[in-house]
Amino acid sequence: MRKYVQVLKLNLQTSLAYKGNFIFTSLMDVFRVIAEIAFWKVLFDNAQGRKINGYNFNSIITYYIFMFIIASFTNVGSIGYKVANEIKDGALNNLLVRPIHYFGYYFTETLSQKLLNLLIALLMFIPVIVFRFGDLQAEIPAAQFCLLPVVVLCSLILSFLINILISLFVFWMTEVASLFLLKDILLDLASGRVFPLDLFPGPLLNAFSVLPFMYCTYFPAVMITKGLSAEALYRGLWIQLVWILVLYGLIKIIWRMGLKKYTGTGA
Amino acid sequence: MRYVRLYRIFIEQSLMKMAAYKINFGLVFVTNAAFFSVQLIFMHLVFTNVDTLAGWTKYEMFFYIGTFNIIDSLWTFGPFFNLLAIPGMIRSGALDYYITKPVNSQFLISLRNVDPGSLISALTGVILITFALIQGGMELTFGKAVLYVVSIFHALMIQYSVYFILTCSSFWLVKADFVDSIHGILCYFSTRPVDIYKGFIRFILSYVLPYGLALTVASKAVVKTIHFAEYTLFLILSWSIFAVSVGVWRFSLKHYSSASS
Repeated sequence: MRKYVQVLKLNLQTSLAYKGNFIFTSLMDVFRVIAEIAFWKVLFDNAQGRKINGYNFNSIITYYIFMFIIASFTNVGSIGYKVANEIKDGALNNLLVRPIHYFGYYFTETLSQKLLNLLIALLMFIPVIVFRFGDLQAEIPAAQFCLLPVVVLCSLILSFLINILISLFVFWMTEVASLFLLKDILLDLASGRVFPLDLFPGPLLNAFSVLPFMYCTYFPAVMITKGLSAEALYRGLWIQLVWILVLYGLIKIIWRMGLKKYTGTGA
Repeated sequence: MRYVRLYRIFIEQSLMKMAAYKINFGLVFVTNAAFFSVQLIFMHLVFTNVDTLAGWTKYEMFFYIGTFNIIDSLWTFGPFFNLLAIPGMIRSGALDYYITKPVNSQFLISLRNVDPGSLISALTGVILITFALIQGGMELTFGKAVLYVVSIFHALMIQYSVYFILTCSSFWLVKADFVDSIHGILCYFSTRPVDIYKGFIRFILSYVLPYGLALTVASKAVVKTIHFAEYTLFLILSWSIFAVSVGVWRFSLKHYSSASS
């Protein structure tokens, strides 16, 4: 365990060296929220006070603000690129020979970066939250608030495993840039980072609810914004845990198959 | 004429490079189609609740998204990757090679590499605007088509000039990653017509960093009535920003002292 703590510390130090970059990325998210506020304002003005799929203007803005904050912690697309590139150019050798678990190492690295991302996102969004505080509509019950960190941590693990799983296909492919771009686009949609998934018709939302993607961002964001019944919360948490186990099992199988194919010489 | 010939050679060279490093065209097309499908799905859901949005109907909005796609693809086809490489060339001193050639250095540095794969992506946009025109019952006259093509050229010129001016900051700064982030956020705002925005944001998107204006005017030229004054202002603005980009480039080159600086 101590070696992972060292990895965490080391990566925090490295990440802090690029804090300007982190701050700028979070600032861009603030601008995105501003764009969404402008868009939804016009939409609700045209809808003449009607609710849209259970959302009013304040609750949709609350969703976007918390979605961006949560996504700053759970969106780990870059780690997939990193692993894929290591496999592709043979740099994987360096970590394979070290006495550390490959995915454990990268999960620790991701965790350190994401903690910093989350901290900066929270700091950047404080003015937005304060500025619109009276209008924000967070309906999470107090009793569920203590479960929120567990749900968000499970979201991070899920997102990490999905990205790692896709990156392992590089063992059998040479050109992956477009594949990763496609993955980012589809993951953004399916995890509720473009718009709340409950804007979709019921049957489609039900289909999404058995897949792992919406538990990466949408689930915790809607938990804060709309609040969930105890039954829906525990069901969601169970689905997260089941998918974590399934994805981890799949990764282990594909990793073993991939290593048999891997030559370590680069594509 | 000399520059048209030169650009044809750039395209030929890029095609040769592409043949050496094969790109999966199918995947490029699917990826682009997926990105714009997400936008369409969102707009479709939005328009199940309202008839118009800031004066734009559903199919006018689809036409706008298609136009965005075409401009974005042409942007990637032409200047994007070239401009992305400029900060690195300044840092390494590789810029020396380009500014000593007997051609306009801004032309050479901005357009020497072409990404032919992006033309495949533009197809998605063409399909989408055709679909929007047919479904929305909108008529495309010869005059409107000419205005549209002219608008797209000028929208690209605005996008290019803004990005280029910002990139020139790398003559003084070590890292200029912020330029691509600013471009990204401007594109994010511009996925919707500038009519959506009000006040300060609209002013910025229309006159300071006018991505929003460029895309909106291009779409309006076909699906709405565009006033002569608005169109003329758009053309004057695009040439003015381009002139500023030329001035900024010349000014920056005077302060360039190669890699040893």
